[in-house]
Amino acid sequence: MHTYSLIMTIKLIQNYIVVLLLATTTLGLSQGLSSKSFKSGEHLSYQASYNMSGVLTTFAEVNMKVATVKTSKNSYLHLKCTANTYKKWDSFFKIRDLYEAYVSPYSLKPALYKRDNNENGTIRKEKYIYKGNSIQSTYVRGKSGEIKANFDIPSNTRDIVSTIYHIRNLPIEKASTGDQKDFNIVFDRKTKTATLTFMGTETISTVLGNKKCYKIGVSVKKDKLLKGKANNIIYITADRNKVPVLIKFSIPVGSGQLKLTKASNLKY
Amino acid sequence: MKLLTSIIAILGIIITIAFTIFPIGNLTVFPAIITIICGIVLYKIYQNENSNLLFPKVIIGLAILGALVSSGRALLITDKIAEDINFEQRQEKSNQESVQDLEDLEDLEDLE
Repeated sequence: MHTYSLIMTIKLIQNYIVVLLLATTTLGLSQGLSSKSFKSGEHLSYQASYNMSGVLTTFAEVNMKVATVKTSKNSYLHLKCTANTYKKWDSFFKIRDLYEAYVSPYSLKPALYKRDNNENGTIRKEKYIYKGNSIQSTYVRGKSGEIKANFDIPSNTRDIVSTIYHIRNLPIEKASTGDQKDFNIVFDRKTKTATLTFMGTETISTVLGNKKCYKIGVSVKKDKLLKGKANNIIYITADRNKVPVLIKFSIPVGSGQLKLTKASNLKY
Repeated sequence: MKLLTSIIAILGIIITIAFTIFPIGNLTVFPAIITIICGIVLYKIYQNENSNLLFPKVIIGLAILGALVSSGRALLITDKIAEDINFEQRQEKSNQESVQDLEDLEDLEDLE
């Protein structure tokens, strides 16, 4: 029963882990970018676990990398997020997911977002090309061919990946306990509204040592998976790097966490 | 008593085997312990009845084996991701296509 739930949950978790991360985006209530908290070459690695009867079972590794990409005219930051199930799980449920965004190195405004998921053989691809307040999207789901669709987005709407990094450049330190903020994200060609709640600070043990962290609750409106802010919490180091070190999530079929296991090339 | 214990033992052994097959670590120990306890109770009952002891012995044996296999695996197998050439190729292909997409976008913006 638990095992069945776990397998069912893995796919859900894959889609919503990133939503949890991104949801912290605009908590620095006074808008505008502070100094950048990351640099090209940064690599963060996470271990994803699912709670089964009080025992955390590890099932996947999530990697987040930053690189610089140059075209003939411009430079972009390539923000890449990959999710791989561990070898021991591959025979039961194999996940090879890729999410990436190309953003301006100065404003972090996204120019291109791509998603290429392979979850136990089920293919899902998406590409968003940003054009002002609209997105030119191309997507493939399962065995269907490539479908093109254009849609409008509210201003300041970002995709998942660029949002994850955008959050780290916001002045969270200026937020007070209980502060809330709604913001828009685009996922699966739909704009969703997420609410962030600043829940204060807490010192937790991490791979970087004992770190004082900002504790941020996340909920997504009209979303069955991420309803209660108290159950979905992101811990971000309260330093200049603002590294998400721990993400706790709760979904209808259980709970789990994403824990930072490796961090290299941090800016500070 | 005998019937109830047998049902619990059978359910326990099914869960133990299922948990042993799936890589869920030490969690297998819990159903295995319950199965072993039921197996010991059944062993005593069968002994008092002078019945064949094969069933409780098999139950206890399988539960111990399941617990040992999954605990051993949890200790010996580390969390590693497999090298996946296909996935790496997908990423490389995506990088190349993205540069092209960005250049096309820049050309379009220049025209506008």
